[in-house]
Formats: sequence, structure tokens, C-alpha cells
Amino acid sequence: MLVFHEQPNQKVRVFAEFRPNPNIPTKLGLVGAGKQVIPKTFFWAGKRYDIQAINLVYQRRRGTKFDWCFAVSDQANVFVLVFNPESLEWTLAEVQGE
Amino acid sequence: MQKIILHFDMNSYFASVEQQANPFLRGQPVGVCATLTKQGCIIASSKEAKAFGVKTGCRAEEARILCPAIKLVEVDPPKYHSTTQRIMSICREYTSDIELYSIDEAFLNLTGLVKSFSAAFKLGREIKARIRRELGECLSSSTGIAYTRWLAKFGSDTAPKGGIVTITPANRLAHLQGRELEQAWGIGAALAPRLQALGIQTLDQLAQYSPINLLEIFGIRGYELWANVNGLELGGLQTRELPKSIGHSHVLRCRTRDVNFHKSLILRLAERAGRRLRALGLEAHSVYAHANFELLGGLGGSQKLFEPLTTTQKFFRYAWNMLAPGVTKDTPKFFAVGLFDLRPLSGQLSLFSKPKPERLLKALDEINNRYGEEVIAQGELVGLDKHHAPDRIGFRKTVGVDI
Repeated sequence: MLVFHEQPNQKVRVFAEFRPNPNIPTKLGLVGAGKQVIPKTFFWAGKRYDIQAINLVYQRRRGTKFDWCFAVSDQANVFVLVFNPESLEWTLAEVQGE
Repeated sequence: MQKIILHFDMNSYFASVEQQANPFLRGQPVGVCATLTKQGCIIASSKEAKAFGVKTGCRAEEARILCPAIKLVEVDPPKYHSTTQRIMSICREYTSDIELYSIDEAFLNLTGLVKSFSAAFKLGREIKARIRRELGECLSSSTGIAYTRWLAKFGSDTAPKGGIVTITPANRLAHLQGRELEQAWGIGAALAPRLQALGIQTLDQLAQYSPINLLEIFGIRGYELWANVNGLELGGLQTRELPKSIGHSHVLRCRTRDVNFHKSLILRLAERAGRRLRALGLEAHSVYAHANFELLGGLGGSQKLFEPLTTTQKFFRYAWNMLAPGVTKDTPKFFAVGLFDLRPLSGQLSLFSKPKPERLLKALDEINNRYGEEVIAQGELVGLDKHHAPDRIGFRKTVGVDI
């Protein structure tokens, strides 16, 4: 069984859905509160990858700012997509597969 | 009013988070290592790996012998910090009186929030269910509910994996019945034989032993043991606003006699501790530094400072002075540097040093805060690979680490 683990750290194009998060109460006057980002599909190296599951969402520190990391998977691979909320850019940080 | 404390301990926490992040690891024996080297230490193993005897503290090469199919994963602190943060935000919806005991366990004071132990049990089940629903199905916890902090922790330690144990005044003795001494929080391999020499073999026997005898033999520690098993609250929840110490350590990935390389490593550790110190608005009045060497063994010490310290360079100089005699003679294997005796920043001007470095550091910190760690750094750190002395996870160091 071949296992690979790469860290391409390349910018990718992601199609994401913004929808209400039932776990976070909406706060009046706070833009974006109570919403969540759901990455659905991304394009990397000329291929389209449809995300089957968002397994874990966590934050990674960048100075005093935080990037959002989405550990996602399709049927064959596991990816970590990083969303920079300042520049609104997505980066493919990790790819793992067997 | 009946005091009710809930304690939960996440099961195989780091390994569970890794299994949650990577579905291909689920159901597989997983070991989370501090470093992916032969000598790398396993800091968490999944329940599947535990079935093979792979425990915390096991070396990577030993783990591979015990379980050849084990998947070793390098530790990823942001994942665990962030997950703990989300678990705590769920807990804070129920109570603000929380003691975050370590990265994977916490005490919740439910006194006044629920009327009975059965209501606390329901609440405990709800919190567990929410963690699984909102964070992931791999994250399970053992929970203890009792009327003292110690008994709540004892309850979760003795609970089955993923289960909830309630210890009430009525069932306390029955729960202690026949339990070995070392199952209790605070009784280790050194203390247990001393208690056994007094004829105390189990925890229920300890509860029924004379507290005066224990006080005479073990001092206040003996009374505390007796009070804990008898359900007397001694301290309550302990919440600290400021950390006791700030330190960083690193097990070297490669053995080398390159003094400049070691200097850079120590500087990186000092810089990391210094950044945390300044971010918390503290100054340190003492420093420590320690190193392990191949031939010389352990070397280092601590030092009380003449003037409080806030700058990385000053900290580095103290640490280097303590470690240089060993680094120049032998091959180091491990470095640890830290600051303690921490106090809020007084702002007292010094008669003996110029304020310029502090102003410069403030500017450097602002740049690093904005653009990321080590975007601007001391010259010695340029070219030092990020894999050397990366961010590491601290089990008890939860104050001031964004949780």
C-alpha cells in the first residue's frame, strides 16, 4: 500500500457555500456571525476534486491572525485547504492518499 | 446547596483528532509522535494502538515492534489547540466556572446550574453528544460527576472509555471499594508502597484509616489524601489568570557539534518564549535552561535576575551562558529554556540599560504579529529550517496558549 503525503502549498480555486450554522447563534450587528463556509469543490493541477466530507475545521495562527483550515476528503484522498479570511484566498496545504 | 463538579477527559485526544481529520486513519492503530524519528516519543496513541500495548511515552521504534501496522503521525499543535478551544466554547455555554486542567481535560462547576446528580448526568451526556455532533464522531470523552473536584476526576479516570460515572455521598465508598491505590489521582508508584506498608491496600481502606496517623507520617499531604477519598473539598476549582512559567524545549532531530546551529536553536526557543511573555504583558524575574548531552548527561540550572527581563536577546544571553560550557564540549540531545517568577509588566525604567532594544522589539513583534512568525528575525535564525524546534504541544501549559 503506497502512502503519500505532500505539502504543495499552492493557491487553488474553491467553490464554497455560505450557509447558516445551527451551532452558532446569530448575533445582531455582526456581519458573518452565525454563518459557516462549506467548501464543495476545488480545482488543482487542472483537475476538479469534489469534496465528499469536511472532517475537521481548525484554525492556524499567522502572527496574531488566524487562518481557517479545512481537513476534507474525497473518495481517495485527504486534503487540507487553508482559507485566509483577510485576502479571501484558498491554499492547498496538504494532500494525503493511499 | 449540593456542590456538583463535572470533569471530562478526552479519550486518546491527539490520536482521535488525527483520526477525525483523516478518515483513512479511522479504525487503524495510530501513534502521534513528537518527532517522526526512531527515537521520537509517542505522546498519544489511538485505542486500536493501545490494544497492541503502544502507550504514551513509547519510542517510535518500540511502537513499530509492538504493532508493525501502526501509522505514525507527527504532532500538529494548532489542530489540538483549536479543537480544545471549540470544546471549551461548548462548555462555556453551560457554565463560566471552568478550570481547564490540561489540553484535553477540564472541570466544570455545575453547582446552582443543575439541582441533582441525575440532572448533571443528563447535562454531561448532552455535552458529550454536542462534542461528537459539532466536532466529530471520533472525539469521545470519559466523564466523572461528583461533589468534589478530586472525586470528579477520580470518576472520569475510572469511567469506561466514553462513559459517565457519578459519585454521590451515598455511593462514594462503594465506588472506592477494592480499587487499587495507584488508580487514585495523586498516588503514584513512590507513595503506594509507603501506604501499603501501613496496611492500606485499597482506596476504601485509605478512606477508613486514621487521618491523624496519615498527618503524622506524610504531613499535610497525608491529610489531603484522606480528605480527597472522603469527599472533603480542599481547594475547589483552580483558575489561573497568569501562567507560572513560559518555556520551550526541543529534542534535536540530528546529532551535531555545530555550535552555531545550537546557538540558533536556543535563540529560536528563547524567541518563542519571549514573544509569549511580551504578548501576555509580563516580565520574568528568573530564567532556567537545561540541556542533555551524549556524554556529559544533564546540564543547566536556573537563575534569579537582577533586573526583570522582557527581551529575547537578554533571555538568550542568560540561557546561552548556562548551556555554553556543555555545547562547546559535547553533542547535545535536548534543550529546554524558560522564564518563571512572572509578574505583570511594571514599566520601571532601568538605570543600567537603554530602552532602545525594547522599542525595537516592540516594532519587530508588531511586524511578526501582522505577517507571521519569524517574518523578521535575528540574523542567527536566518536559514534555520522551520522543522528545527517547531511549535510543540504542552500538556499542562494551557494558560496563555489561545484556549
